[in-house]
Amino acid sequence: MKLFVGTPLEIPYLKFKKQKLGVFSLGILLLLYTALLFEGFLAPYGPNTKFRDKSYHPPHRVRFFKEGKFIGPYVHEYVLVNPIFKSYQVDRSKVHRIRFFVPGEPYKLLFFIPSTLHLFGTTDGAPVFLLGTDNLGRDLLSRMIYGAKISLTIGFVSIFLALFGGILIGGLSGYIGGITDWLIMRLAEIIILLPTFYFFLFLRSVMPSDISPGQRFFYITAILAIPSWAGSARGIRNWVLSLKNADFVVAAVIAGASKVTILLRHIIPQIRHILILNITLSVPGIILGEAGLSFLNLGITEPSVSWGMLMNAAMDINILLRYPWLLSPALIIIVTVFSFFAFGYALKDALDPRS
Amino acid sequence: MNPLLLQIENLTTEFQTVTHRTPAVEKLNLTLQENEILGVAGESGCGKSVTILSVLRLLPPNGTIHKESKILYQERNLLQLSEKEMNSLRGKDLSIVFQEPIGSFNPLFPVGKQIMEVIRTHEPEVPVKQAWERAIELFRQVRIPHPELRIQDYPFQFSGGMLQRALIALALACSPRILFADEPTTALDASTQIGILDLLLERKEATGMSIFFVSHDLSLLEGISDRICVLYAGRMVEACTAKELHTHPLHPYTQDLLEAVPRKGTFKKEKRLYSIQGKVPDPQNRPTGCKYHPRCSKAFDRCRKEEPELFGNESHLVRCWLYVDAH
Amino acid sequence: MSMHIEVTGLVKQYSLKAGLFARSKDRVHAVNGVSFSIPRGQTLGIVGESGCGKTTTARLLLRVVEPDAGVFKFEEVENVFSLPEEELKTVRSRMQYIFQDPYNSLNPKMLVRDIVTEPIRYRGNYTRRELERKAAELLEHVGLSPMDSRKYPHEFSGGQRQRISIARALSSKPSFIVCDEPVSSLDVSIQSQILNLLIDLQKELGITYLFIAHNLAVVFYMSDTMAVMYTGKIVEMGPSEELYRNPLHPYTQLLIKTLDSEARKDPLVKNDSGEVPSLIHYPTGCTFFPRCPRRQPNCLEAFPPLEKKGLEHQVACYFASPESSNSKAGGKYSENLSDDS
Ligand SMILES: Nc1ncnc2c1ncn2[C@@H]1O[C@H](COP(=O)(O)OP(=O)(O)OP(=O)(O)O)[C@@H](O)[C@H]1O
Ligand SMILES: Nc1ncnc2c1ncn2[C@@H]1O[C@H](COP(=O)(O)OP(=O)(O)O)[C@@H](O)[C@H]1O
Ligand code: SF4
Ligand code: SF4
Ligand SMILES: [Mg+2]
Ligand SMILES: [Mg+2]
Repeated sequence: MKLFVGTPLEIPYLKFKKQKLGVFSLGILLLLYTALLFEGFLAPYGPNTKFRDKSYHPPHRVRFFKEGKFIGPYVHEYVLVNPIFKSYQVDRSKVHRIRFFVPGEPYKLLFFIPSTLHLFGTTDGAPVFLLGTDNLGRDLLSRMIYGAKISLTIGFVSIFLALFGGILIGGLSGYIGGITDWLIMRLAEIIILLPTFYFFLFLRSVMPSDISPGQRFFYITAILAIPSWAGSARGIRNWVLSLKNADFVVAAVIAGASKVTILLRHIIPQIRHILILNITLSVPGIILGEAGLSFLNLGITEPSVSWGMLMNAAMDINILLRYPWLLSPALIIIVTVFSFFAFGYALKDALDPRS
Repeated sequence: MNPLLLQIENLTTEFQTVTHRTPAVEKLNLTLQENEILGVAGESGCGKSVTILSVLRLLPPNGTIHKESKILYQERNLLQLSEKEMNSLRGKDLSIVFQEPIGSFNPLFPVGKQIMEVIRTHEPEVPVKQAWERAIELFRQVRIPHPELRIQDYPFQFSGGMLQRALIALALACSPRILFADEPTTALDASTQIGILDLLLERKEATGMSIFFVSHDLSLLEGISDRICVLYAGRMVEACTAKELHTHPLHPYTQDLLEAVPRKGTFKKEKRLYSIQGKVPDPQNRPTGCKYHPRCSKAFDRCRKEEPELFGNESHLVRCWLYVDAH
Repeated sequence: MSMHIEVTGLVKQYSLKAGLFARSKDRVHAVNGVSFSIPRGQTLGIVGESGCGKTTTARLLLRVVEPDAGVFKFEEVENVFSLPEEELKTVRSRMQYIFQDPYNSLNPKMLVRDIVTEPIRYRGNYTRRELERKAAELLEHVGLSPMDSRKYPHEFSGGQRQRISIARALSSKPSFIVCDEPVSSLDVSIQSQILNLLIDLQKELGITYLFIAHNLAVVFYMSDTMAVMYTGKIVEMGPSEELYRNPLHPYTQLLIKTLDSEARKDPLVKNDSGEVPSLIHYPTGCTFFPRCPRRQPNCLEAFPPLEKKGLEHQVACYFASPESSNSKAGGKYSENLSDDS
C-alpha cells in the first residue's frame, strides 16, 4: 500500500476542507468581496441620494400575495404622518411592484463601465427601502453596500502597509543588529504595549483636518496600520534572526547565492504561512478600528461612507429606540469580523503541521 | 533488588494515520526499579520515544494505547488517571529530557524564565527571587559557564550542546522521581557527555531517582545502566544486565549494532565498518516471522515464517530462534 | 608531501551582541591562532568539546564567517582570506560543507532537485534540463534514487537527508569538503553507511576532508591526522594512530580515557571538573590549567607553544609526557590544591 505523501499545499487544503465553519466563513467573505465589486449594481440608489420627506423611513415590508393571489414581490407606500417624530403609516391602496434589472441612477459597473441597470427597484419611480433610511432620507441598504468598499478594503490596504513596513523594518533590524535593532525593537514594544484604541485616538489627534476624502482615507489607513506594523516587525525580526544562521541559509551562502536570493528563496518561504495568518487575523481588528474611529466621527467622514460611520448615526439611544433599523450596519460588521476570525483560525489549524 | 517503581505491562501503542492503524509498540513489558538506570537501545523508529510518550501520556492525538495495557507507578495505573492528576505528576515526579532540545524551549522567552516558570508551576509557594536563584544554581550544576549571565539569554543564543544542558537543568528543576531521558547526550561531545552522565548519576545517588535512559549508543548504555533492553520494530528483542550484555550479546541485532560503530582504536585502513543492510521496517510493512529477518545475516527458514517469543530466563531474555533451546 | 591546504595563524573573535549599554570591548575568543595543513586526498580530524571553536574554524575556511587574522593557502590561491568577493565565489565552488543537522540544513520548501544543484545554479549557465540530469546523477552517486529529485526534504529520513546534503556538496566537484559532525545526529546503523560513503568518495574522487566530530572513536577511525582543540587552540596534533597510542597532552589523555565504557569510574575522568575557562576573559596561561592533573605554577605564565615531540607529533604542554610517568605526582598536587580552596 502506497503512503499518502501530499505536496506542501495539498495537506493544508485537505485539512482546511474538513473545517465546516472555516469553509462557510470563507464563503461569506468571498460573497462580501464580490458584492464590493458590484456595488453600483447591487445598491438600488447612490450612497448620498436623499429622498425628501423620507427621513427615518422604516424598512419596507416586502409582500408577495394580494388578496390571496400571488403577484410577486411588492411594497405598499408609507406616508409620513408625523413630521416631527417621523412616524409613517402604511397606505395599502398604493402598490409598488419590485422588479429586477431595472434602470435607475447611473453608476459605473466594476468602477469603469457606465450603466444604469440595478439589481432591483420599482419602475414607477417610488423608492423602496429594504433596510429603511437615515435622518437625511438616504437608503441604508445602499449606503451599507457602498460602505463595504472602505470598510472591507481598509483592512487589507492597511495590513499590507503594515506588512510591507514590518518586513522592511523587521527584516533590516534583524539583519543589521546592534543599536539600530535595539532602538527599533524598543519602539515597537512601546507601540505594542500602548492600548491600541487610545493610540489610534492619539494619532488621529495629530492628523491635519482640512484634507480631501482621499487623503483622509490614506491617513486613517496609515493610522490603523501602525500598531500592526510594530507587531509584525517584531515577529519578522525574530524569524530573520533565527533563520539567518540556519544551516540551509549558510549552505546557500556557500553555494554563492546573493543576499536578495537568500531572502526570497530561503527566508521568506519559511515564514510565508505565518504572513498569511498574520494578515487574516489582523484584518478584523483593523476593520473594528476603523469602525470605532468613524463611530466617534473621527474616521471616515461625509461624503465617503463606511460601516463605522453608519453606526455613528445610531449613537443616540433615544434615536436608536425609535429607529432600531439604524443598527443594521453593526450586524454586517459582526458577521464580517466573525468570518475573518473563523477563517483565520481554520487556516491556522490547516497550516499547522503538528495538528 | 530494589522495590519496583514503574511497571509497564503489555503496552501496545498504535497510531492512526491517513490510511492505517500502525502499532508503534507491541506488547511491551518493562520494569524500572527504584534508584536504577534502565538503558533502552534501538535504532530510530523502533519505538523508544513512543514508549516514553505513552508512559507520560503525551502521545499526539492520533496515538492510542490499548485497553489491556497497564502502566503502574507507585501502585497507580497512570493510564486511568485524570488529565489533571497526570499534569501534576508530569514535570514533577516524572520528568523528561527530549531528543530535540530546540523544540523544548519557547524561542521567544529567556531560558531562565522558562525554568523559573516550571518551578513556580509545581511549587507555587516558592517566591520568584528564590526560583530565579534555583534556576541559576541548576545552570551551574549542568556546567553552563557564567550561569548568572547565560540565564537571561534566549534559546537561539545557545549552541546545541549548551541548550541540551539547559534542558537537563529544566528537567531536574523539581527533583523528579523518574527522569525519562530520550537521547539526552547524543548531541554532546565526549567529555561533556561524560560530565552530564556523571551529573545525572550523582543526582540519582543524591535523590534516589530512577532514570529511563534511551540511547542508540549501546556502548554508552553499557557504561551507565544497571539493566539494558534492546528494542526492534516495537518489540523487546533482548534484555539483561549491562554487564551481561557487554560480555554476551546474544541477539544478532544487538551484535550488529555493536559492530556498526567504530570501536576504540580502529582505523579506516584496518577495517571497514559493518553496515546493517536496509532500514527499520515501517510499522505498516513489518515482515512476517522475525521482524529482523530481512536484515539478519543469520536468518534461516523458520525466521521467515514464525515470530520467535522471548526465550531464556529472567536474567537474560532474547527474542531469536537461535536460542530456542537455551536454558 | 605537498600540502593541499595550509592554514596559518587563524584568529576569530566575536564581539558580543551588545545592548545599548553593554561594553562592546568584551569579545569571545573563539579561535586563537590555529595552524594546520592537509595533504591532498587525506583527512584531518578535529575533536574538542562543544564551544572550543571547531565549527568556527570550519566556517572561517569557507569565509561564511570572516576571520580576524590568518592565512589560508588553498591549491594555487595564496590566501583565500584576502580574495575579493567575486574571486571568492569561484574559489569557493571548489570547497564544500556538510552540516551536522540533516533537518536544518535542507530548505524545507525546496525540491531535492533544486537543493542538490544549488551550488552550480548561481555559477555557469545550465539549462533546466541539464540541472535535472545533474541532480539525478548526484543522487545516484550517493545511493539515492533519481526519482527522489522531485520530492521535498520532509519525505526523507535523517540518513537519507544526509545523503542529499552530501550530494549537494559534491555537485560543484569540490576538492575540499568540510564535514562538520556529519554523523552526530544519525543512528548508529546509518552512521556506518554515511562514514563508508564518505570514505568511498574520498578514494574515488581524491577529496580532502576536514572532518569534525565529537565522537572520538569516529574521528580516530576517519582521520589520517588528528588535531585536538581546546578553547580555540590546537593542543595536540599528529597521525591519528600515534595520537591514540601515545597521547602526550593531559586533555587528549582524558579524552581517550572516555572511550572506555567504564570511563566514569576512572579517577582521572571522575575528578575532572569539566570547567572550561571563560572565552570572554581569556586567561593568560594554559587554559587547561583548572582541570589539569599535572599543572604547575609556571603553567600560568603563558600558553604553552605547540612544539614538535616526534616526526609529526606536536603538543602544547609544558609537561607533555606519556601519562603513566607523571600522573601520580600531578594527582597529588591537584589534591593539595583542592584542599587549600
Ligand atoms: N505521530 C505518529 N504518527 C504515526 N506514526 C508514528 C508517530 N510517531 C511515531 N510513529 C511511528 O512509531 C514508530 C516508533 O517511533 P519512535 O519515535 O518511538 O522511534 P525512536 O526509536 O524513538 O526513534 P528516534 O531515535 O528517531 O526518535 C516509528 O515507526 C514511527 O514512524
Ligand atoms: N555568532 C556568535 N556570536 C558570539 N559567540 C559565538 C558565535 N558563534 C560562536 N560563538 C562562540 O564561539 C565559541 C566557538 O563556537 P563554535 O565554533 O561554534 O564551537 P563548536 O563547533 O566547537 O561547538 C563558543 O564559545 C561560542 O559560544
Ligand atoms: S530469529 Fe532468525 S532472523 Fe530473527 S534475529 Fe534470530 S536468527 Fe536473525
Ligand atoms: S601546560 Fe601545565 S596546565 Fe597546561 S596542560 Fe600542560 S601541565 Fe597542564
Ligand atoms: Mg526517539
Ligand atoms: Mg559545532
